[in-house]
Amino acid sequence: MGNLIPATVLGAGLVALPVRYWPTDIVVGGATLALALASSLVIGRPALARRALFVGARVLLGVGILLVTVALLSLAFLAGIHGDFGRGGVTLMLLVTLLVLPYAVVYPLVELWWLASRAPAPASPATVASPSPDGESPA
Amino acid sequence: MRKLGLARLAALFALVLLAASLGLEHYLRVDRQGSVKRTIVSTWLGGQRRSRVVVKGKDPGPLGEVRGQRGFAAAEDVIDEGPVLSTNPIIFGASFVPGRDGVEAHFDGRVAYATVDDLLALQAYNHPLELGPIRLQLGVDPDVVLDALARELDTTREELVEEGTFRRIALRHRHPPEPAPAVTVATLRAASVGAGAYLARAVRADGMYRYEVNGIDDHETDDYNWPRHCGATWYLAETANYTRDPVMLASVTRAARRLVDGAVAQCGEHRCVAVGDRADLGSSALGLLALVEIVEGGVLPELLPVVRDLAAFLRSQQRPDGEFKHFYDRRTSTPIDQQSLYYTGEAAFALARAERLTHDRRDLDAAKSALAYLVDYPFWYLGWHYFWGAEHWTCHALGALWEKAPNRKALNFCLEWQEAVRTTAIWEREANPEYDGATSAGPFVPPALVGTATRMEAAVSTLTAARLAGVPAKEIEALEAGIVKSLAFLMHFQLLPGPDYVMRAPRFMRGGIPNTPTDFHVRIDNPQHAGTALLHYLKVLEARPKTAP
Repeated sequence: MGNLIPATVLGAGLVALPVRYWPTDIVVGGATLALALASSLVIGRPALARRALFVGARVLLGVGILLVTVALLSLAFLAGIHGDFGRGGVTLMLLVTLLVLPYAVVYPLVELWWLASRAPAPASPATVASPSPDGESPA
Repeated sequence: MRKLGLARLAALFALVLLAASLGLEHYLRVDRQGSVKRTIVSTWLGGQRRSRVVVKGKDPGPLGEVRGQRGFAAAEDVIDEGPVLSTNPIIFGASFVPGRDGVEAHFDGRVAYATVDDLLALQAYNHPLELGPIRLQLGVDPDVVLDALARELDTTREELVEEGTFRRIALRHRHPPEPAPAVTVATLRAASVGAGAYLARAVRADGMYRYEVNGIDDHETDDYNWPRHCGATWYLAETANYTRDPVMLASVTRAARRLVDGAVAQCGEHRCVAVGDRADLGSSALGLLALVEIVEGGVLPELLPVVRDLAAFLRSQQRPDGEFKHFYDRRTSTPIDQQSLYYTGEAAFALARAERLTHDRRDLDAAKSALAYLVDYPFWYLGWHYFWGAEHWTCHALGALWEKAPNRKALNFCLEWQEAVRTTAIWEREANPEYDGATSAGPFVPPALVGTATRMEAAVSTLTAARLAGVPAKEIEALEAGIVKSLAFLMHFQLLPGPDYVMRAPRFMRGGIPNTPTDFHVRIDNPQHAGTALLHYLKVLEARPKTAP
């Protein structure tokens, strides 16, 4: 259920953007769909829930890392051009960072961590030979 | 194992990103305290650059103010340089600090420069990049800069972009030197009277103003705005009263006559300021302020009945709770109970000032009631219509009312707002230390002067009330220190004369307050707001007992 929150935030943000730019549309739209799909599978197909959550968390983490990378490199560029931009600039950048990091990076990281730490109990050897450490079924 | 892998991956990514960011920042950084590498000496005449030489090393050769046919020699020192990553419009445009950086272009064995003076003359620092409804304010307009450099290098822009290379050059003015005005009685007087003199020149023979003039090419916009006509006339009257300068007195007489003859109309049983069927409260409030100042100064005493009428109109628009109905339908003689940002504060201030002339208790009561309404914000104060922001008239009303009707709540409101103004102002911006104390328009763009000016008007009115109220000295010192720093910023960028050699009509522009340090459009309310702050603080200093030497 937790994935519905970032999915809603990303989807609403994408719709609200006043300018259409296809790379943004694809990346953010893809992430929104992946998160929404993961939540649907958790509710509708419990058997696939674990794998769906992994995929959703990884997609969100990917988007978060991309956002943070772009933001940090832009910040480095602007800091190189302008030098220290004073108290106001630092406050603004801190605010942006605090808005993005918890939802797009910390949340999926914690989710992945949690999923990894809750590996399912080993099934009987007759059905599953050797479960992988993260709980995913072997390919 | 899996958790450990995740942690390692995250740590590695963070390290790589941090290293890349630090490397990029270091690669692009310039040293603005560096020594002079070379000096670019340009001769300007009639706002156009006529010649240029580049002098290597520290000695730029003989310089000086050479006016007349040979023009004006301006010298800009190159103190450092840095790379330009790309000619992509966004990256190129964002690669320069407005007012501090220029561009060096190499093409086919030749070099051309677009210096700070060039970019000011080209108005290249002011063009936002528009992406649909989004306006990105970049350092320079890449189209304007690349076209200018291509002309200089006798090539096409496409060829220059294809084959040329570009460097960012950090510049510092050697001649004329950058102003660093101290805030003293003498400099405040020069600056405030200069702003008034600009407005006096801007009044045409018919009493209308040259509303907004581009300082670079002397073009003016077609707009006109009556509230701003009234506000500018208020300040012009105040300066004229202060100086008793015949030119200013004549100008303010023309502007006031035009206001009364051309814009004062009937609103039901009262007179108001209106040019159409719909009257707004702000025009009448600022018109009242202007006429009060004019009549008080003895310029047009016969306008006292208009003062009384306008005050009566304002009172007739007031609701029982102190708020005003901001509009009036003249066809149906009906007040319209809608509100915009400034009008209640303007009406409160205007009525407080009018009472000193009309001695009508109803004016004082209306002003008191309006001020009480303005500062009575609800628990969810961030949504309050009149909460801290650009609305500065509330604190003017506080100052004007204090002696007869002190309002402690309003004083606290204004003191707290001023603390917020100081806290959120620009401080210690490395590339632009001269912006200290300015109200920020964003971390990477030059601040608007009028934003700082309006807040300083309010600050000086707050200072006056705070002194009378016996506010603790520490708080008054902090308030006054903020005022001094912000007024220094305004004086730094006042066109007194500023880089007048890049302007087509520098004599007209003298004393004007530009939109920003790099945008030399002067609208009539810019000198009004800045001049009010400067003149009112000057009067505060002049009223203080002189200490023995």
